[in-house]
Amino acid sequence: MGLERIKKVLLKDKTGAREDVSAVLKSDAYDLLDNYFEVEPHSLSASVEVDEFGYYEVKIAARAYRVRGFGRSG
Amino acid sequence: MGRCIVVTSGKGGVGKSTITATLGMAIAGAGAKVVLVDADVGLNNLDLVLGIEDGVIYDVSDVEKGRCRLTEALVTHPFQENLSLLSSRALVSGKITERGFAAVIAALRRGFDYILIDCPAGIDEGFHRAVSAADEALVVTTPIPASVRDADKVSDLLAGYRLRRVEVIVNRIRGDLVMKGEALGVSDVRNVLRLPVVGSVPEDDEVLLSQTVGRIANEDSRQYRAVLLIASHVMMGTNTLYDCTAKYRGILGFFRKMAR
Repeated sequence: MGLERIKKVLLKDKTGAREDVSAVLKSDAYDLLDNYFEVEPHSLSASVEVDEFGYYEVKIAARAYRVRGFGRSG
Repeated sequence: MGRCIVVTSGKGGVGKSTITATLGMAIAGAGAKVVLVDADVGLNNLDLVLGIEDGVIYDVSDVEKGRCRLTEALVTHPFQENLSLLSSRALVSGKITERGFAAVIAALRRGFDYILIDCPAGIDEGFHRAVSAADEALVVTTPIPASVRDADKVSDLLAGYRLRRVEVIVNRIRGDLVMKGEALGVSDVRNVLRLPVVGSVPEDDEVLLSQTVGRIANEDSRQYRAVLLIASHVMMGTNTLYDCTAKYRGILGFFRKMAR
């Protein structure tokens, strides 16, 4: 009984924290992806969910116009 | 260069200072040079737990501000010459900067094999100051839900530091209640925190009795035997946990459980 109760409490704590994390994550993910793709800014989504065991499930999705070129000169 | 381990918890009253002192004594007893650093500025108690409160003249802030040499601020334990304390006297320490504290720890690394920092409760400035100077962390919790919850929050914060290891000690375990299924056991805490548990320490009246007369620990007590196993993990990487429920198994255990 005690174990289930503490698990529930921690899950609730983590769920509360995920909103702040996803906002920061979205901004950082855009900066990172922008090095490789021309990302459509409004298409980027970042979500953080918490599963029943307390693990975070992170999903980042984006649509890009094109891949940036690498290793080409001129 | 010495290893610096911060002993933290989040919640107060879980036995952090007692674990720090006893662990220090156990490691020093194995022949390593150990210094305990009381980072609980304003609410320091490590000197009292060690029974050397009368020996403290200077403290960590005096060293940081250059009012004394580091060696002058260190108090060596009268019965264990490998064990020293750098205290932080109540209401006298003033403001200690993170940088200054780190410099003091860096100096201690040159003279000691192990530096154990007794972290203040809470997650304020003092917590960050203590953790930022460390290489590893031991999170002390009890099987009480409020304590486990705070340990979880602290673990999340510790993940933001470049610590080599973050491990858990479950303190004040009531073996009889664990056996009856009425309290969380070590595996429950491990399951919830998802961190390695490297110590299980039983609730033991000997802690109260020893500290009342100014002794760190009774070397024959169950608590000290449990801490010896933690010391062995810290020094040699062994992974044996003290079985807090053993006393309550079998015929004799049945009567012990009933008697509590």
